[in-house]
Amino acid sequence: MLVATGMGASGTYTQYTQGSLWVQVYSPQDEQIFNQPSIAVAGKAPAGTVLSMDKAIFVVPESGDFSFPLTLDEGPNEIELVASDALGNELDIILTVTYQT
Amino acid sequence: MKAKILILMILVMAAVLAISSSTAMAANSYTPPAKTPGAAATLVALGQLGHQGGKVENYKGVIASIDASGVTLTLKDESTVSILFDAQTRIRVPRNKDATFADLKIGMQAMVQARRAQDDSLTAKALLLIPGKPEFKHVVGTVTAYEPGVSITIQGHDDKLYTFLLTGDTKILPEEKADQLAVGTRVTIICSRDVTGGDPTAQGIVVHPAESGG
Repeated sequence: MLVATGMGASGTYTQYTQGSLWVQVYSPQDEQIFNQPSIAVAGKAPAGTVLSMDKAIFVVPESGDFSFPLTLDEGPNEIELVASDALGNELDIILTVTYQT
Repeated sequence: MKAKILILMILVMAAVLAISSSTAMAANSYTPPAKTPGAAATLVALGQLGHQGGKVENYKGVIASIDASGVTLTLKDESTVSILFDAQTRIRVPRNKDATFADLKIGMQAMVQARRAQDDSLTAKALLLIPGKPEFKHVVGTVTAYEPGVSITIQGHDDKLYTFLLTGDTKILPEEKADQLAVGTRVTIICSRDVTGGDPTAQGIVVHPAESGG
């Protein structure tokens, strides 16, 4: 898996690439600190990409945008995002963020 | 005579001006006192400001050593940081609610939220073990057998057959394509990575368009 950062219309993102599959995560950034528990895991991926986060499953629409709401526990949290395409490419993305009161 | 009086008055006025001027200069001259710690610095020294409860710091790294008293992490820049545990330290291991420090091993990746004390030591508020892989995985393939509500078998890219159990909680997406799910359909199965105890249960099935890759 290749990991790179870039700048898009919605701000800074981290791009994860495996074969022809790519996912850009705009929010959150790895190791980001939040002072509120409600956040969204949001980004862009090719239309038709299957994303899952915990038990939530999402098929990326034509716009390419995705967003999962998430409530953080106090302290460090892990975010597990899995993406795949119909060709069998898979990306396992694990981010850590901290909710600090 | 008048001129003498005038000259005398001018001399008196000049003398008065000279005296008042030197007094004013003396009043304006200021010698700063030797530097002393300000009130804020004094409060910090007394532990009443700035270090109330200690500054919170976050560290992510690989466990280099660990025991009941604390953990040492090797950080991304190869430096190390040692962090103490206390009775309030919360240990969190995903998918293990009863985790203790005994579940943490050298080489595992962890994120620690710690508080720095006045003596510069760090004490962990919370430690999160970062799993190597997510809990769920995706398996893409073509359906070779399907019994609604019971099981589904797909042929993966590696030509192997994979069977998944179905329950009432198994989601089929997109919902409008659920009735297209049949032998020959290309799908992605979302299931737990942990396959102990037989065939895994499908968390979800995504039905791909007929023209999708394979």
